[in-house]
Amino acid sequence: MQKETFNYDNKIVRNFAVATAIWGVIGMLVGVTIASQLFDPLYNFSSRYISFGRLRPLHTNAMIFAFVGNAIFMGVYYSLQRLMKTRMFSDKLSTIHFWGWQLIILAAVITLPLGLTSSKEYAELEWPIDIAIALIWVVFGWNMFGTIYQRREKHLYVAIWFYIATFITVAMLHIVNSFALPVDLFKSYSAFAGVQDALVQWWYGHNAVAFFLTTPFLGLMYYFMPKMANRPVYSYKLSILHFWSLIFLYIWAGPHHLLYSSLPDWAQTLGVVFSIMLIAPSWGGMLNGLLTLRGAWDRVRDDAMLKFMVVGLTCYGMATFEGPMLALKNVNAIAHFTDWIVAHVHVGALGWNGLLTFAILYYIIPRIYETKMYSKKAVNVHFWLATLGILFYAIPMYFSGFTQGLMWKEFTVDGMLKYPNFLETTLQILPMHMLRAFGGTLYLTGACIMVWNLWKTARTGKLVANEAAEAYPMVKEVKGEVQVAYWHRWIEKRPTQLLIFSFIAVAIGGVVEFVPAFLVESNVKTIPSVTPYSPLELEGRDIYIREGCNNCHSQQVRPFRSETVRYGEYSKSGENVYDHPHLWGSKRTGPDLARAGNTASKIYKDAGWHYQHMKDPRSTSEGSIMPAYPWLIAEDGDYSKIEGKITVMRKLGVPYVENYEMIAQEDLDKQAEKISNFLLKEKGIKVAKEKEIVALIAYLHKLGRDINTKEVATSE
Amino acid sequence: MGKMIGYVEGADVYLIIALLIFLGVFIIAAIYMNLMSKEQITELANLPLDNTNNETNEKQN
Repeated sequence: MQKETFNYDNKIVRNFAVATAIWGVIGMLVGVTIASQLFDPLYNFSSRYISFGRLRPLHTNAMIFAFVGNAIFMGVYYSLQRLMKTRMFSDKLSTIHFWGWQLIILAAVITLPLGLTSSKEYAELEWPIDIAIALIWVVFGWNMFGTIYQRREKHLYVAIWFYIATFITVAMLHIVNSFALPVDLFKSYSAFAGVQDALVQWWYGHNAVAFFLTTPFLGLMYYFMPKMANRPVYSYKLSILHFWSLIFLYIWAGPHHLLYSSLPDWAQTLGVVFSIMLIAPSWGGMLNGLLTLRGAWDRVRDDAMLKFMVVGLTCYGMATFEGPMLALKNVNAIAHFTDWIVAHVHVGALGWNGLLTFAILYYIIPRIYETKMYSKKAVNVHFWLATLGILFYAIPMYFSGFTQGLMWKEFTVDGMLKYPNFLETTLQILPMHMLRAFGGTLYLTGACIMVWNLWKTARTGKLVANEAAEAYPMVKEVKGEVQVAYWHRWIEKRPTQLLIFSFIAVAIGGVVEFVPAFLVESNVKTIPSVTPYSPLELEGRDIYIREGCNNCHSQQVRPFRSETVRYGEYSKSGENVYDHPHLWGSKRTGPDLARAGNTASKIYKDAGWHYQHMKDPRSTSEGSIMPAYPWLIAEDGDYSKIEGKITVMRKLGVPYVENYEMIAQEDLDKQAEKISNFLLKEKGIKVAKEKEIVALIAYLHKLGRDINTKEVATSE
Repeated sequence: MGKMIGYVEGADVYLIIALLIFLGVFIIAAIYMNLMSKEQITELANLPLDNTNNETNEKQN
């Protein structure tokens, strides 16, 4: 049989490589900006569009979906063609995929600073963009499976298993987590509420880390590590065990993000148990990668690409050991809501995803341009800047996290909180925030050097857009032949079966966690005194979401004495049954606000204080790093959609009385007038009832208010 | 582990089912892995390094 000649499509690989580099630098620049805002609010530049609450989701989206996303596609398009000995299935689909993904990112860059957000962490984009993501993801899958089906190589190398699992799981996570009912083109409400929304959100959030930041990169590691080391992977058997164990276990671990919350205990424990078990497959993968270098460690000294890979894998090992430790309830009690989590995330993101991406870029660009790296010295400089950047980032953040966690919990000998003013704990860690910004700047500088070096490399060569290759055609198996060899080859050679089995493995965890949480009524105990939001409170809540307040303020008081003394009664699931979406948050740069409207809470402040605080936070809280929100005071709220909002909420199960939407505007005006009058008469502050600040105050005063009564009768 | 799970109110059923499912998947994967021949493993592990020819197909031809 004759060999067949064909071409690899390097142009699409180049395009994704360019996008990776550009979006990477932009995302890191936004990261350094928000890191600076966290030690000096001056860097918010009094602009609503670049205030921390709006920029933070832009940073996470840019780094995850633009930088890492494009890197995944670059690596997959390069390795898949070579592993399958064929060109990509369709150049048109490749082009649609590339430009579609870039447009989605562009849409995020425009909408997030405008405050158009669903507020769901790592899934903030509004529903039309969500639909676009799903469609483009399908295009990617179509192209990938088309390529696999037209392959010349019978065996599906383990890297491709990881790509397939990534495709199916991300599709499942994205679609379920994005269930929402639109009010208009730019506004929607999550289909889930309160504790159920939190469970879905962190099932998605945790597994976005697992199946967007981990499994595709493990696939890339299994391809590029042997290529760079020029030796096969240490243990192919281990890679198989690693694959099935990892994808099965990862999906269950989401609830560890909700420890000590009002999520049912059984679900929390499930998350803890599976998180601990995750150490085994995670370390299996890391060791398999590192041991691939057995007998070739001397090459690491001279080859900067391998340095990036080794440190990247080591960061993966550290992050995947630390993750399960953080899932232990006693560790989580201190670490959750603090900078410790930020450090943990960045060891994974900067170390594992960042360094592997850099190594892959350095591997691919000279090859597709048929040249050598322009400056090996610059690659080494980049390596050291990136490594030092990670250290300067992570170490201060760990220090900051321990400091916060311990200060929040410290009592005096008299049994009083030692730091009753939350601000004291924030001021204590500002030097750490400065060092973190320095670390980020080092990392960004390294990335800029890389972009320059890659650009110069490309200039010295010429893109081989269609790289010639040849291979024997694949011989079709006679039906039944496969059973004669190994029964397990039934999966290994068949992408459809692999897809189905991967889907079953990842779906089981979600089903076991969701079905009882959604169907067993006792899991979400209702509280009769908790009422739906009034129209003005609902509008205030939407302003809170728009400004990204949940990025710095949690709304979940944990059942610790240190928290109940500071904030008031611990949170219960029944309080959030009308919260579409939930706003529990994951970080406390500022205090928890779940009891902000409960007059019995020490955290309660009157309308006048809130007005002054939003106008100039330092006037009420000296040294505060919160940005000012003058536009809330200057501008009228647009409440023209209140009728639609009430209607959508009712459709989602919020018990507004029939036709309430018809009088919602009237109710809104009445409540706004009351607050406006209070501010004028009691505080001497003249503010028109139409201003946005009035709605925000109404919302803040709703938080925890419904349980501020001794006669609260609960079904508990 | 069983003893620890017992202390978590209402969690026993979910945890035990989850652990059993995982154990099942793990055992199947381990058997699967061990049934593979050394020759096949070497062949698969070398796939990324096979730049020019797909040797398996060549052999079959």
